[in-house]
Amino acid sequence: MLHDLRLALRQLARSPGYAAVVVLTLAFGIAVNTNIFGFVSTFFLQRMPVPDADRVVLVTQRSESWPTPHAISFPDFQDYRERLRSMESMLAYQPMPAHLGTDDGRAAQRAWIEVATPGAFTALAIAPQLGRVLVPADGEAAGGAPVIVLSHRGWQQRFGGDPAIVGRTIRVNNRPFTVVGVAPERFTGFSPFLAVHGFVPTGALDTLRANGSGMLEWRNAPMWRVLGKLRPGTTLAAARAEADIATAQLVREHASTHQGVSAAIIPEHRARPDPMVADFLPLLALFFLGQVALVLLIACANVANLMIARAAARQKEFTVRAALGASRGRLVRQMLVESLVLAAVAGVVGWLLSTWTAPLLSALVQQGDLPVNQDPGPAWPINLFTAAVSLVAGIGSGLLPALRASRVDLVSQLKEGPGAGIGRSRHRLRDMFVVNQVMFSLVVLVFAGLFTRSLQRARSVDIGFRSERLLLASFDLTLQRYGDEPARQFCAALLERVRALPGVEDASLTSSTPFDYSIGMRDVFPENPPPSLRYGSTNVGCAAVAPGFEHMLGLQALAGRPLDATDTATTRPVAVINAAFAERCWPGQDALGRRFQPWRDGPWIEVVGVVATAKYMMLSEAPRPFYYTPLAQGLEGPVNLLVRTTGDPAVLAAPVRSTLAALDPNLPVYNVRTMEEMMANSLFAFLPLRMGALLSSIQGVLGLGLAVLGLYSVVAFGVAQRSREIGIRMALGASAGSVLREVLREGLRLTLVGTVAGLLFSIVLGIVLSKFLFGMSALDPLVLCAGVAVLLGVAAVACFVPARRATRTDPAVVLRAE
Amino acid sequence: MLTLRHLSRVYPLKSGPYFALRNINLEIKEGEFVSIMGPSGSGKSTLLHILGLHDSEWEGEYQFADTDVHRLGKSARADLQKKNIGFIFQAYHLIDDLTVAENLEVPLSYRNVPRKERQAIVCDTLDRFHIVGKRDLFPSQLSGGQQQLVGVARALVAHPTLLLADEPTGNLHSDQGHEIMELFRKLNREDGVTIVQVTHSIENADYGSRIVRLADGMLVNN
Repeated sequence: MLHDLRLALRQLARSPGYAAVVVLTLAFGIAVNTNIFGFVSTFFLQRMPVPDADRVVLVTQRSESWPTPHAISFPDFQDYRERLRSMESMLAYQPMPAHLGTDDGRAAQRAWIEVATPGAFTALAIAPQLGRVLVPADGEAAGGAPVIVLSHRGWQQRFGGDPAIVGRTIRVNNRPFTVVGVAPERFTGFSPFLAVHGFVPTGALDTLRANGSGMLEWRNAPMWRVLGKLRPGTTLAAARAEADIATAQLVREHASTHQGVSAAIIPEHRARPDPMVADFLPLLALFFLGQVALVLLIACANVANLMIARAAARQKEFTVRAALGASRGRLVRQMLVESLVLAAVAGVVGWLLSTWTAPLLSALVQQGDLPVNQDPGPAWPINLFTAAVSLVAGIGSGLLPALRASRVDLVSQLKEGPGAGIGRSRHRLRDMFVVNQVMFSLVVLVFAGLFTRSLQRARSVDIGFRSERLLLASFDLTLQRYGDEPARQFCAALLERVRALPGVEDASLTSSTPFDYSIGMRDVFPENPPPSLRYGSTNVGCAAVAPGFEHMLGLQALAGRPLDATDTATTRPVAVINAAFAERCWPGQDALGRRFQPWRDGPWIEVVGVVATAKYMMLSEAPRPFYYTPLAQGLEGPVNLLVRTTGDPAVLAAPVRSTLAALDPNLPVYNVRTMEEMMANSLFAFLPLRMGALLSSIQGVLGLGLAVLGLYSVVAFGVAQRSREIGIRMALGASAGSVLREVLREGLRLTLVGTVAGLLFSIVLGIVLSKFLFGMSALDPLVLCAGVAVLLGVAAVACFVPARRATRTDPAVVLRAE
Repeated sequence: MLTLRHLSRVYPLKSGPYFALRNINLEIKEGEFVSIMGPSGSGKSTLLHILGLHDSEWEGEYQFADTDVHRLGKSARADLQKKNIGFIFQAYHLIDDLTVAENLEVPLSYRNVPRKERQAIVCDTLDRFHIVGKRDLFPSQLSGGQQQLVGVARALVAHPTLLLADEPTGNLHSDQGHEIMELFRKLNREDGVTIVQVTHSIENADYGSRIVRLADGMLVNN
């Protein structure tokens, strides 16, 4: 083997050009695979950094009005914890923003923390790095101790890694909390997708927020994420069966709030970043992995072609070796060692390429307010993947050429010389590779086109409001412990000052911005519900807004009046609903003057206006019922300032920040960005399509380039092989045109066969994957035609260059050389 | 040493079977130096490749020493070849990317001779053929005669009992040809190597002890 390795290294050193082309071709294929695998690994493959992570599951619920797996209420969690024997331990947690500060006079800063049941750390066997973790004595029910365990990140970023941090008092939401410990560095949060700054026991919720203890009591408030650890030996199926029984009991016991509720138990790593997308995100990841695998396949086919050409040139050597006693296995081994050496070098180059390009890909996704965990995790899975892909590439590209080249016909080849080895079957193999390359490159081209067109469609879809020239800025008065009246005064003053800024057309406030993560969802109970609402309620979106919001956002008024300054805390509760809400709750009737309750037995809210249905959460969502209430009648949680500008909204970012700081220098302001930036980076708006279009385009260009290189090398090799024949033909009177046509015909024949196969493959794959496209069919004729046109055009150029060279063959020179 | 009985080689062609060799009966004794002669297309090289076990698609009987080759499987034939036969080609067929010493090492590496032993044997062979000074040169840096000398050395490096040569001087000028033929004579007389060569040259054939003539695939004079 060492002998073969030495020979391989020498062969490659003798042909640096060949080695460079093979290494770079494979390296590109390996790099894109490594990059995409890195994403997939972070999302789906890495386990939580806790012991026995494979046994950790997410306990979620589905309901008829909210069919995707989602969080559950705290009382439900407590019941599950009591009833599910299949769970060794269970915990509930909830990520929430907080204002972290100290008593040293510096302004508080916004950060995310997780409120968790105090036994959560023990349940997952997480030991502290400093001090202690949360313990049951810290309190699960209201009235618990105001203590906090800092995450390693929070400890380092906010407190400079102060070794004496344990025992210090810091301010969380303007209330004193004692730091009791620091979590280990690898543990970034109970939601591994996030990197929070600290952990507070559920018992301290009432200290943390006004009405905080209510979150622990409301049966119909599905806001807690619940993790369970399966007992050793318990299967997921058994746990699911038990959860189904427990949920049926809950439905019976709480018929008024739990009709149509079912349980969904998902392995923790399958529920990232949110259980709501657990149904389709793995499929999307698989699609992208499949697509980059196609690029690698094209690269391998290309390299295999080059290897066949090289093996043909070395046929004499193999024949002589066979004549001297080399078995077929030895010849195959020698050639495989060469391709594996090349693949190993390509693996290293590919790994380097992926290391350099990964930050560029990450930079495409702008960080929002949510502290996404940027830790890529241990490097070994990615390195192992790169090594495995390199090995597969080495064997994949080298095996067939090696098997072919080692099949030597000693008698004829020793008699007739080296040229005798290149038979029809060897040409057929090369042709097959080219056809495959063309086919796969058309597939990736078509998908690049489909995603790009999807993105165009998505950008032009009617979202129901005007997204242009809008600046956003968020703040949270609740966390800063503003009372109702001071908060109202703050908002009124803010709007007055911002509207007076030069370049501002209008401004308003809302509790949730379209396509952001903070949309409010509620089960509302309309007066005289229609029979279609089986349980008398329906799930709708909601937002509290300042007067004039509908006009400022550009929502189309259909009936009634907008919310205005006359709607105050002391007047009757009113709302403006959208057309989908009216149609769902009072189909075919006039909704004006009708009433609904925002929760069971809640206050009645009267409908005073109806606006057209817009998009609220996702571009692809079905018409979603939604209502707006006056901010003055209920202000809790974050507030988003929306500023419509006359020019570039980004220019107003600094003046708006200054205005907010002038009103309250200690108020943390976050998510200052334009609406277009927010939509481009929102997982619920353009981000998936944008990433899809970009990744597909990169893969499309790579695939096309590799296929064209393969086609060119085959045609050029064919011309070189046939130079004698072409010389004779020209000596016998063949014109340059006829030679050109003949060579072109051969190359384009392969292209056409590959194109037809690629079209069929694209159509089949497109039908399967059409759910990822927006507003269009996978059989879009424009994309299919454009893909074919680009491929044929580039292929024609690739064939034309060697064909042209063939026409310049000098018969005298070629025949003399013979 | 070699006995062929009723040996035929037929190529199935579209136009019907083509008999490259027909009913060959031939015996070659150990220590003989036999020259096979005949016009082009008479089956000389075909016969040589069958003797050298490169071709296995023949009919009839072939006995090599005490072994019935016609009863052997593919792998046993390969072992028999590696153990007993050396081959010299008209076009030398040295491996261009290997030095002289490495070319000599190739047959040994396929016989699983340990690396140190291989190197010792190669050194001895280089010395024996007076080509020590060429050991690190590549074939392209040698003259035709020198290349064929290396070809002969390579054929003998594994100490075969039978040396087969397919027009070994065909690509050499007469002086170089004589040197190679003298070497063959020496190997045959002094070392007892059995040699079978294919040649067009009566002068070269005279170096041997017997001439076998072929015409149209048949033995016409033995």
